[in-house]
Amino acid sequence: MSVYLIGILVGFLIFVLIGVLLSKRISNVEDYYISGRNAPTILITGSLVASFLSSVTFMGEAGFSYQGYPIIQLILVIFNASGYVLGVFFFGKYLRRSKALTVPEYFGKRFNSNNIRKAAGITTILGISAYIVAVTQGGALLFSSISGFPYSVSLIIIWGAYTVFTFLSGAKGVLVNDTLMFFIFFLATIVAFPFIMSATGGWPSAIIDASTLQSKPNLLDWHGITGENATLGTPFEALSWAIILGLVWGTVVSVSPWQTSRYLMAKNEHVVIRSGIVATISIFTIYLFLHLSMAAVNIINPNINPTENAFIWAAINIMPTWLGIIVLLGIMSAILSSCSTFLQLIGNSVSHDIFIHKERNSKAVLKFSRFVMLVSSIGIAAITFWQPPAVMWIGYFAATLFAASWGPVAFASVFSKSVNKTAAFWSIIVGFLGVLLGELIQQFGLTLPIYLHPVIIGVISSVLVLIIGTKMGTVTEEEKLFQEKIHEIPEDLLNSKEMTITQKYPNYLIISGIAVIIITFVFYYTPLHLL
Amino acid sequence: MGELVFTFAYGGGLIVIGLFSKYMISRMKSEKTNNERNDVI
Repeated sequence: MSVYLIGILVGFLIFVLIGVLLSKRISNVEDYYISGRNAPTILITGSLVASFLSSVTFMGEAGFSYQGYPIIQLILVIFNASGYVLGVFFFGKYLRRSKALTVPEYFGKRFNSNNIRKAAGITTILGISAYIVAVTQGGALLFSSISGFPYSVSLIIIWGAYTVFTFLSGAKGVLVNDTLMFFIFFLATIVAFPFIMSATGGWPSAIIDASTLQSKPNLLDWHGITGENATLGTPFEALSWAIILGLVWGTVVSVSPWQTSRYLMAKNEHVVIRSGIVATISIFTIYLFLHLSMAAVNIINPNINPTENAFIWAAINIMPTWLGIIVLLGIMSAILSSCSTFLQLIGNSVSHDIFIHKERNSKAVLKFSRFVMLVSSIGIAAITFWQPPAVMWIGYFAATLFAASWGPVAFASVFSKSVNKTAAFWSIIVGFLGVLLGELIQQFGLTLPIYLHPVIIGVISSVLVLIIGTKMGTVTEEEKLFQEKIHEIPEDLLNSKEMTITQKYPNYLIISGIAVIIITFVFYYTPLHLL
Repeated sequence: MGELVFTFAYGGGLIVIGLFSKYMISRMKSEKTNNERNDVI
């Protein structure tokens, strides 16, 4: 048994033990769904970042950087990570004021409609089930390649690890484990950077050599490798791709259930704002170091195949063993943390939004919620086994569809006085179907230009339906009152001491921005153009 | 040129978000102050 495998299994064991220990602190439905709505900034930040980053980041995107597009992906991050702060101020803090247990419940309360709650619940279950299947399969493939175990055994180990602690400890276990996992992959990415730089010739040689590689010309240019046979043909196409997908992912970050549901667990509104800000800084930092590292790996080996294994190859072949273990555990942690959040959302939506209980705090409902979580997880395991792996398009589809299906309704639910339940209901449905239609067109071999990305088709359809529905329908008194209620300033926001602390957080963003400019100038621009 | 723009845009993005957050929090604070004033009246 390799040391890498032992390191990963020890990590898994710790995550499961945390779940077992925290399960004793679950005494009611609020504990299980939203950790008693009492989580501090560190746990909300950890869960926000950990549930956002997954195998897509450390395998898919890292591989794309290695392939030739590190800087263009960082341009995408500028738009994408901005979604945290925009999401907090335009949706997240109002969502928390609703005191809902799930995001679909918020939609249901806002529009006084169980149909909308169920529509949002069903889109959550369908979209996130597809995503969790894709991420679990990615994790199983990685685990299998590290351990040498058969794919099916690896699948059971990965599935078992996240199911046990999510089923037992619900939101409490997910928050603590997500935060621990966040620290592991944050540390892995930051510490790996100097080791990869050193192994590839040190600064500034590593950057100079990477920029002059014959096999990958323009690797470190802002637009990456372009040309006839390149993935992104021209610099303009590369920039359009980064901006459009950045905006799409920014909306996903602002409104998707696996991000915004974290705000429902926050102790108060100050925690919502602070965690959105710290998550932004974390994402900017992780991606900067990850993408520059992946570009440099080309100097030692420009032929890693598949490119998704670039970070894993570097962990095993370039880094010292102790760091390799942390990196591999970090990648596995990113996968497990996303899966645990997804499973929690699916279980919660089935038990709370599809089966709606009048008495939400009884022990019987808690028992039922746990039972549904287990059944949902077994269902996911069955689909994961049945569905052939390497279906990442399903994962991308599932992640981005919330931008179209939920985005317009989420923002309108907060700021529009005239949007009504009929408009909101059909906007969610049509947005979902719009993305699905766009994806199906692509799967049948028709290549759509970037400005006709399936999510854009979905967003346009969803907005149109929302506008038409708003003009045709009327707003009920209940809808009007609820919209006014979420604009009332909550008591916890009036605490001056808390406000003084919160006011410091934008300064952290500005200071981080200055530090990032210095790091980028010294480590990237100077070797490229000034030496 | 593009690389220089990127160098300042990446960290600059964080600065812009920071300034936006500052604005939103100060707006929130003034809403809060108005609220308190109304309570007194």
